[in-house]
Amino acid sequence: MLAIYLIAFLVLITLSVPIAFSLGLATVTVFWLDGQPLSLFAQRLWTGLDKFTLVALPLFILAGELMGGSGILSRLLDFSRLLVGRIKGGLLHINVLVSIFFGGINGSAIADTSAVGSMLIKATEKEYGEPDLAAAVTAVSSVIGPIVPPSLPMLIYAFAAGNVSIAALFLAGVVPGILLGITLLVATALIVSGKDYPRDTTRYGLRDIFRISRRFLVAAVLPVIMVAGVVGGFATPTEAGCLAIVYALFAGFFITRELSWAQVFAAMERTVLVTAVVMIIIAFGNVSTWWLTIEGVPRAVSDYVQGVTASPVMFIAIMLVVYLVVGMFIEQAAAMVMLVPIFAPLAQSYGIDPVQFGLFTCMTLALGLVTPPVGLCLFVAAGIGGISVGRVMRAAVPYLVAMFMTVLLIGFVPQIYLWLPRWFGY
Amino acid sequence: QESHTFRLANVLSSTDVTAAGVEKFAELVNEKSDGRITIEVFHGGQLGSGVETFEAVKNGNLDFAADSFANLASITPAFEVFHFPFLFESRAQLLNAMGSEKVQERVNGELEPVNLKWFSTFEIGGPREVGTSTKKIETAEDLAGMKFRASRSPLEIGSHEAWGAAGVTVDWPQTPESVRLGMVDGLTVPYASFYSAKFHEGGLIKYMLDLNFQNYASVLVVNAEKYAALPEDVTSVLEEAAQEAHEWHVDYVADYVTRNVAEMKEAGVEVYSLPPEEYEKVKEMTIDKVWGEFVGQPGMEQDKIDLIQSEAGEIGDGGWGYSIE
Amino acid sequence: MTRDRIHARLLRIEHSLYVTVRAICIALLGLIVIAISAAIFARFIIFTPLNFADPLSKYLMQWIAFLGVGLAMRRGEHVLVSALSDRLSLRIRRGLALAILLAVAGLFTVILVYGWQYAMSGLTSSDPFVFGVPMVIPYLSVPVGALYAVVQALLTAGITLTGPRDEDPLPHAATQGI
Ligand code: NA
Ligand code: NA
Repeated sequence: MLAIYLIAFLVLITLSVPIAFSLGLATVTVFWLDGQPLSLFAQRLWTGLDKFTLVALPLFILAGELMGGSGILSRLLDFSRLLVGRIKGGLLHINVLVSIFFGGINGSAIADTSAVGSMLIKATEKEYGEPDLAAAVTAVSSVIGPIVPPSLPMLIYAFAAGNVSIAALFLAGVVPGILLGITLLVATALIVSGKDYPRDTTRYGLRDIFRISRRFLVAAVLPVIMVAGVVGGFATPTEAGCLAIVYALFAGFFITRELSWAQVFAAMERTVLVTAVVMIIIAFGNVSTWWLTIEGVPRAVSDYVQGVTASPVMFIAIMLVVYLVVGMFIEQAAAMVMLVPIFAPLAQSYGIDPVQFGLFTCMTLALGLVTPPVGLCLFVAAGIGGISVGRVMRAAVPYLVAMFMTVLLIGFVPQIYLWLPRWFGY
Repeated sequence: QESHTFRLANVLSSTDVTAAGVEKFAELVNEKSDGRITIEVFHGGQLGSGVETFEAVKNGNLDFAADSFANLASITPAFEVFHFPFLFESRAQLLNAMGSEKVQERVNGELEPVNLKWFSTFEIGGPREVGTSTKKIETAEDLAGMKFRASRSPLEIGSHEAWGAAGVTVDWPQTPESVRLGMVDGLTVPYASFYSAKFHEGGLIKYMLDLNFQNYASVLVVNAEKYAALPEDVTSVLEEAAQEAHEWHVDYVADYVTRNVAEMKEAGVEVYSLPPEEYEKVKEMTIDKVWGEFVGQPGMEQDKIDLIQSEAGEIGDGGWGYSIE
Repeated sequence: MTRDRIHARLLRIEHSLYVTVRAICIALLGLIVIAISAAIFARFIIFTPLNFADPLSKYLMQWIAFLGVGLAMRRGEHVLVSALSDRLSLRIRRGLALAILLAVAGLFTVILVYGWQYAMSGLTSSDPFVFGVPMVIPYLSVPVGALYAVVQALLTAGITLTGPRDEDPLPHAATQGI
């Protein structure tokens, strides 16, 4: 029966059936063959979303969308230009830096790719004439977005695992996010070192520096609201998302004055769509998890893995491979919803810190956003640049190598980032 | 004779005190039927939340479900009545009332429309106490203005409000964090729950007021229709096993809570009682407000309360069955 | 009716459905923001927890989620793997698209039927925290969302069948997700 389930799922995915519906169809098939009650199927769909913590998801998305629509990005851009614009290949460095800053506002890599991409890919092409490199940098650096808090994948992870606090995960993401940013900046410097790019020679006076920094601060308040709210304990993640929305509306209408009601409407539509896409995956995942549990699959998998190795380090190595392979084919939210309920308890039985395993999971699966065949960020960036996915992919290879090394470091040397959540008492 | 496999979803975690009783039940069923009847147990909400698994039983998609009835108000008000503050003043009363055939008959009558049958009960580890992180409650007035974490039971929130405090609903897994972050000033759960969620570690909860103001338990339910259709030899095994497991669990819980309390005190938690006159004050204001508000609501009729109180009998001298000394 | 007129009519129906459901979902999202803001306000300014805000916003989100399935279908936003279908000829892609739409319509028909049964089981229970709302109201999000998904899948199939034969019905890569 398990074989039927897996084969049905994989065949459906290969045939371009959306991942959520593939999961639903495979599960409904085994329910029917197995004589499981279909009324339970409907119940599990509903109860899959019957968790208040999930409400944070649409609110975080909306906050990010509103911030994106209120001219915040151009302020982040100016500030990044001030910091790294005069370096060789400045626009590429700016792209990475903006993603670190924007990551503090937005919890989604895809939103980052499309927002930063539409501002920078064409501009970079005009300046340096290499659209594939511009698109590749945009895609790979957008992965920083969900690692620096706030983060939608972390919300979903905390929901699926149930044994880790979202505040602790957020704190754990700070160091790896910055580390990943530095890695990409260094990789960019190496890539452009042999190239003959024109340089930006703008000179900034003290007054410019002051003005640009002040404008930057309007944007920098948002992550402080979101993260400090959750970490400082005066707000649940949901409430923090809501406060961020209120701030984004205030900033957009009264500070930057670039937000319009039409943009608010568009942001809400976007939020509804993304929410539905993610939530239906979670809902079908909940039905599928029920069936797998009944079949004893989680128990069998953990017995098997524990039979293979007793070492936590080996376990992380196995998970690294599993996540990289799964991440290539299955979208991040779906992968988490399917795998985390099985592997998070297993990680705990190996004595691995739940925060460490959560961060490792989010980060490793995020690589799937920039690897074919389902590299969503690659698709978005290629679409904006008007070039083929294959070309972006080739330009991204050196970056992927660099990112993979960072992931290895994060996976096997958790001490470099766990001190931060520890310091806050988690 | 054909063999049977039943699925049992236990919402509370496998490390919780109720899980031991559930496991015992499954073990005894297997033993008594010579392996012919198997109970497949899924602990820790693997098959869903309380409302969800009870609904699954109700719809015939699952055989047994067990959860604290503090979470079941939206499914049925039938159990809420046991949750009345200061309804029982000793463990003997609680066990007498919950074990009484007349009471069970009454509750099962109310469960009939939702097609559930109350099958067995596992104590959750004592009545609710008041745990606070920074402020020690020494008088009835001290309770005013506090924020307590509340379950999804209107009667628990009602009690908090009776004290002039606020009950903030927080799901159990998020509760330690909401205490740590100061979103609530404390919580009102049994000793065993303070212990299993490690509130005594790191000074999360420093004071535990031995108030014993409210009781709840984990109830095990079965689908009434499907159960009635089972052959007699199966139901007799199930019932015998449930009875024995229940008796075994009664002893188990007493030792368990005594050990919990000792260990929490060791970790620096102050476990204390109110002076008698302050206790009376709290008791009076809680009963006034909560009974006044809820008596007569569905599942909480006066005659049902009367029945429960008469079946509960005397307070006796066994206290709550464990020692906090 | 001619093929073109059917095509035009289907497109109109699809559009008005989309606009209506979108308006509902956006209103529900607005309500969530208002409910949570009110709860924050109540907790910090007047020191009273609004215990209905959390479950209410959860129910609203569930409605958005299930209604949104059809919206996202209409926009081709559900994440899929197009590596194989990208290599197929247009004729086969059209056939494949129709087969997928029918399978999805079938899936959501099952959900519609059993979701309705499930919703009706909520007639006897209610949530004391959200003004005693009967649970049938939040539960109905499943069959109602499934109904819209079925209608949308069938509409897309009809639009593909009646539309120009050189139109590509399959997205090359969805770009939605988190
Ligand atoms: Na972020
Ligand atoms: Na970028």
